[in-house]
Amino acid sequence: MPKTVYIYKAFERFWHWTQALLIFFLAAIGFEIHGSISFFGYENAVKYHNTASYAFIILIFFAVFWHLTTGEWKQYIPTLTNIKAELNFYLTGIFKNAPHPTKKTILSKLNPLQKLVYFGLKILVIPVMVVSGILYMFYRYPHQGGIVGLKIESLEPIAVIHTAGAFLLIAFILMHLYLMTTGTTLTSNLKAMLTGYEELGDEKNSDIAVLKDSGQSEVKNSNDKN
Amino acid sequence: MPGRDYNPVVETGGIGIILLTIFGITVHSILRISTSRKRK
Repeated sequence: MPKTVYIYKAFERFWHWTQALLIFFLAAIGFEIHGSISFFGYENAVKYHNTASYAFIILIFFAVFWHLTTGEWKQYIPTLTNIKAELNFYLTGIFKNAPHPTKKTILSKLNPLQKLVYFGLKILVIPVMVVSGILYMFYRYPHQGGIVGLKIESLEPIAVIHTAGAFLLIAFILMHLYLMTTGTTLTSNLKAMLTGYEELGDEKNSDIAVLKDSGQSEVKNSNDKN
Repeated sequence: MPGRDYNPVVETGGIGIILLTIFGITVHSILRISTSRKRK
């Protein structure tokens, strides 16, 4: 019997949605700085992009602290187990109404493909964007009559890396938004990330039992909602 | 200066990846809708 489980904690949801908003904002304004669109004007766009980037860095510090202290970082350890089954599900199984090959549990919220993609995002794309963004902001600008800089040959490679990362992030967001609709229902994943609650597995789910016993998670029957 | 981060390779590759993603999503969602209708 499916159980409605409190799977996404309050901070996790706050972090997810704040990060989403900041990435949308940074991408939109970033492409104004890039020259693709025009809305705030170049000078304001740079100012807003810088401010939002500081907010994003602060959020990253809190998120890293939360992941380390709660042990949630373990969710993102990539694995090749079941990756073929997962790929087959999205390539063919989903069209035949096949069951999802990976069962979501509190201790393993992500499927192998998500683990791989999110790991790459957290370890590679986001750090590259943050570091290149910081270099972009502080690279050799005139300051009190002198030129302060980081002794890098040119700003171009930094700018190009930052832009390439932005394109990758936009592709990720598009896929993320689409894959969000591949849950039990079209909106079940969205609802779970909004409310924290999601219907999972069966009563005998060992992770749920473990966490229920240890008092770490709130578990209730689907019927409890009504 | 606007556009100083312009690089033709990154621009073409970036827009290409985004278009490919949109194309993939469109095809996948059309297949999902049509196969679910058939099942019904």
